[in-house]
Amino acid sequence: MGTSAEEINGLVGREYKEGFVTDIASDTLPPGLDETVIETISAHKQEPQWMLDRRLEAYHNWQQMTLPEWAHVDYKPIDFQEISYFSAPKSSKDKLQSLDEVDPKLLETYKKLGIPLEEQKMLAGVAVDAVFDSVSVATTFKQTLFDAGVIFCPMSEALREHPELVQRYLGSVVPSGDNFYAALNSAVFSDGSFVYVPKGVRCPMELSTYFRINASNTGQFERTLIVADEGSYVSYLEGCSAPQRDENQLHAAVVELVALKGAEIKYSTVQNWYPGDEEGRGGIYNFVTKRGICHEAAKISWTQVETGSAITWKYPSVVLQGDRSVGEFYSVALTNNLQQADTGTKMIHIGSNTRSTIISKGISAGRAQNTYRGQVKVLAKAQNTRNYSQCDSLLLGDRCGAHTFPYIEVQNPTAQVEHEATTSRIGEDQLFYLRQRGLAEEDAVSLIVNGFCKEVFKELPMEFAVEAQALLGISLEGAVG
Amino acid sequence: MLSIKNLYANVGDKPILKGITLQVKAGEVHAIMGPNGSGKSTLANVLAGRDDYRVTAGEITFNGKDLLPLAPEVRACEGIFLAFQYPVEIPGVSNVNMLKASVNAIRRYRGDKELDAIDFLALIKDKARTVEMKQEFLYRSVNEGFSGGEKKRNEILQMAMLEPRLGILDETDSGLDIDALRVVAGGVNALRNPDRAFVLVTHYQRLLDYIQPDFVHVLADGRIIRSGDKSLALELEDKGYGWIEQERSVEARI
Amino acid sequence: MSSPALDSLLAAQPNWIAGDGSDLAARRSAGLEQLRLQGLPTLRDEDWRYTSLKILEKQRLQPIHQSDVVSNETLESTFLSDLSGPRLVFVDGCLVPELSATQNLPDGVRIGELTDTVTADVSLCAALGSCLPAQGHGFIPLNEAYLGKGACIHIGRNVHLEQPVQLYYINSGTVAGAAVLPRNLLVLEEGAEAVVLERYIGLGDAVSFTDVQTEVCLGANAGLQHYLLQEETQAAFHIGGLYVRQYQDSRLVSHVIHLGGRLVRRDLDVRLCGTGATCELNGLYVGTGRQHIDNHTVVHHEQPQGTSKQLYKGMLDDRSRAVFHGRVVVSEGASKTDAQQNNRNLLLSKFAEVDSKPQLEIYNDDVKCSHGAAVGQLDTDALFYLRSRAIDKALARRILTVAFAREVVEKIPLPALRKHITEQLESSLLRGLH
Repeated sequence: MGTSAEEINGLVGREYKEGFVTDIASDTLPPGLDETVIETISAHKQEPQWMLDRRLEAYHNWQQMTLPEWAHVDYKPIDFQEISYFSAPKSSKDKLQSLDEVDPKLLETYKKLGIPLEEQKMLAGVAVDAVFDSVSVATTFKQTLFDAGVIFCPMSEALREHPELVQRYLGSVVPSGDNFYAALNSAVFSDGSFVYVPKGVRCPMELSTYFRINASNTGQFERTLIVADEGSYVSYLEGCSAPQRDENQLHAAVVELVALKGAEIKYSTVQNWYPGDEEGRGGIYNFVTKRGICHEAAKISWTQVETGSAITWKYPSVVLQGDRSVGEFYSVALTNNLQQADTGTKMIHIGSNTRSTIISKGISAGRAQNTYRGQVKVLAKAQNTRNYSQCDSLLLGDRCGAHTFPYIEVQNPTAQVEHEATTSRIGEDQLFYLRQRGLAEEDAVSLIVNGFCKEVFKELPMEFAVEAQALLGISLEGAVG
Repeated sequence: MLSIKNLYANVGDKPILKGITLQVKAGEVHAIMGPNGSGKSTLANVLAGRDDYRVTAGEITFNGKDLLPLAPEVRACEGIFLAFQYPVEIPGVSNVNMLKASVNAIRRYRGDKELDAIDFLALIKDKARTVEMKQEFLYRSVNEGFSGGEKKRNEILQMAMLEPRLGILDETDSGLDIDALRVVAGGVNALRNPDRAFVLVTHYQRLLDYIQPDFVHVLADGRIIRSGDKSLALELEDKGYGWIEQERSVEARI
Repeated sequence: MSSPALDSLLAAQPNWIAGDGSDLAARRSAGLEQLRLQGLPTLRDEDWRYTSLKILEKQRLQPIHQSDVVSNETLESTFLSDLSGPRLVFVDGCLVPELSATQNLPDGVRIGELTDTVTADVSLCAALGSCLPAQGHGFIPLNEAYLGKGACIHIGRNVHLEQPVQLYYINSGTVAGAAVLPRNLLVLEEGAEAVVLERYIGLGDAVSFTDVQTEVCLGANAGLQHYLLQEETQAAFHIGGLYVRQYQDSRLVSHVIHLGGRLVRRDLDVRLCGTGATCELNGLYVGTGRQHIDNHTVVHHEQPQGTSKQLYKGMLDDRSRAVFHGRVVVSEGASKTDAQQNNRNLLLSKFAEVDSKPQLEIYNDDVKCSHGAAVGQLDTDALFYLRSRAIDKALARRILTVAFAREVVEKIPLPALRKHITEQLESSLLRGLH
């Protein structure tokens, strides 16, 4: 790195005057990672000193760690010094000027998914015209949330506006030394969302809608923290079914959920990052750490539909700390072409009378590899715990792979833990039956696959369930025949 | 024989029985009827000593003995038999082996000599005939893969083998076709004698066409709200449970 | 980490069967070299994540081959009286000819000590080592470094050996740290059939260590019923493997029964390398005291139309711990594979622990595969039912526990063995259940 700390400080210093929200198109640091880069990121975001200290501590942890190799995925080693760790959002003049400039294939997909025109533009990175005022829409939402006392803002804003909450909970579920990518994220995280739902409040809306319009371009090291105070409820949807354009190959997000006594958090994800082309070129590496902690009688429910990314490495987990708490994991992971997914969950039963449910559906097509990896751990003091896991894999074509790696660790004799898994191909007779009734083969496959995933889709918020179904059909195109 | 005084019981944290008083003398047959959720099965399970059923007040004596501190197996040895509403399936344990262990446990308790394998087999084959049960069922795992009727028949076979002093039938008639019902009733009638008593927990009057009760009690919301003879059952059949509840609420208002 | 166990075994090797002149010497040196490089497994090895070797590594071990410490009467009393047939008896790793019976074998059957049998037959010598994995854990090169002791069974083409062959490995338990490292080789040629029982028994209280590796080669259409009966003392370290290669239409039925041992690790690795090969793997383990019992199974479906069926059941009492790691790999070419795997565990004490890790790795779509794993306790409804039938709590628990095991025991076709196992189960559960 050629830039000296002084120069950077000077640069950053100038920006302060211009205010936080200003576009700074020139603000991209050259590739590479060292302490100076982290100081720059932190300074740019006007973070308090403790945040910078934490970032640096995470960075030092990360330096000591080695790249995890246990996942059932195969990829070229990543050169972490070739990545640029800071880049401000693009200004509208750098963006495409109209949908005509967007790849027609992408537009076709949007149409199939039924995405509104204005949203299509945002997703494709087209400058949004003045008629569609996202700011005012967002303001309406913001008012509703404000009235309910719900805090929902970018992480960087939360660090300034609600430092006491962030300081208390950030890193409390996923400590910075947790794993290689979590450490990296803790050192360099770009931005993300912060949610706080006060005691006894039922969040008046799905946080999905707002998110879809506002939270684009959170960068490759996203950091999300959701705190549901005692007896509150919130449903949050991340991502969207439309394929998103992104130039960053490595994504290493961290999501932390804190459900205090009697609270419930429902976190749904639809992930459809660019999977690479049919030969496996390009495509996003998605290495995510997601974990929630449940206090007494709290509930955390993860639902995910994963169809994108070249490599997915993701285990949304629940630490069932409080008595009578509940953890759920519902997952559909679809891999096609040369995609690789190694995903699953961890349910750690610490409290007594805790319950967890795992429903995982893996679909593998083309030459893809799809792995379920999950851990159910019952600690010695956890009385009367229950877990039920069901992991089914469906194979389409004879060159793909489906793998199931559960880890069941039980230290208490009052636990009931049950795991079941099946792997099978799509039923020839079912296919024939549907085709005899006039369905095209692709539609028949799509119908059967959707049926296979039904238990998971019913956990998704209504509108996304519909999109997710359409998405599976699209993702499977070309997988049959 | 059986004396229940002001019995209160919870299932988990939920109060189900709210002050039951009932006297059953040797030789008598009592029918306990009532709508679903009134506490009939709870009473049956409390008598047999099931773990999750907690008595919070009242007393039960059986032949003068306090029943409540006794373990389920001791109650069985004392002569209490519960024919389960949903007999559990126990894979890997054959009917014959279980019953041999049971019969001999009871005989030991009573100071009788244990039966050897030959005598035992002769006895069980004889009893199996009386409940029209095929011999192959004796060697199958307890209730595993049995139809509903076969399970109930198996309960009656066990009752015949164990010769209890008090037989409690928990909705043994529910879901039975007429042939199976006839077998169940036949089994009970064959066991009726002046030293033995029965408590029939049932939802339907139908069973009472086959087993004549001496007394009929109607249970609602954890209390016996009416007692009478056989005619009460017929009246109930005629007018339905709503009738009693209505009457009761009228009484309550007065 | 310093490892007196490994150090003592490395140091003793050069004096082991020095100058016996056999062709096996070169293999022993290579094994020793490999062991030096590789060392013993640690918790960081994924296949050993639940099995710590710490207490084993602390032991000072000495390979032995002497067998005159126990009287023949004592040894004979351990035999299953209802079971006749060919028999090889090893005490502390050494064959006792007086107790062995290998006379009157049918034509085409050879049963004898490994070195003698293998050095007399070039093809058997070539088969030796061919079933072991190229990159196995450290106990395989360790076994190789001491290659020479053990049994060889060779069944010729289309020969059906009706009577079970019994291999007895008896640890006298008289020498502290006695290490026994036998290798068994079982070769069944095309169409051959045999029943083989490997039985491991401990007598005295001294710490013993066994590292036994058995190789099985099943020719086309051959059939083997294999029993492993592990009844060592609670002072015994037992590490062992059964490595099987199955050719076209061959059939394996394996029964693994663990009734003893302090630290036990068994690997059962089956390679279905011919079309239409089938295997059935049954396992039963009972843990009491501080026993640690680790079962690893791997079935490689490499060719079409193979079937595998696994059922492992365990009952853990006191402070015992069991590990089940079952892996099924279906290769790209192995279409029409039918693989099932089931692991069920009963936890009977609040200090017992179970770690179960069933794995499916599937690279072919034309398959039917499933696995299940469960950890639980005795069914409270069944317990109440039995008690309501006058059976006391302790007996009811025992009845239900034995019933849980019965599903596996009943798969054993040899009545003598079934009876012996049931008796052992009941007596160990009588001790354990309160």
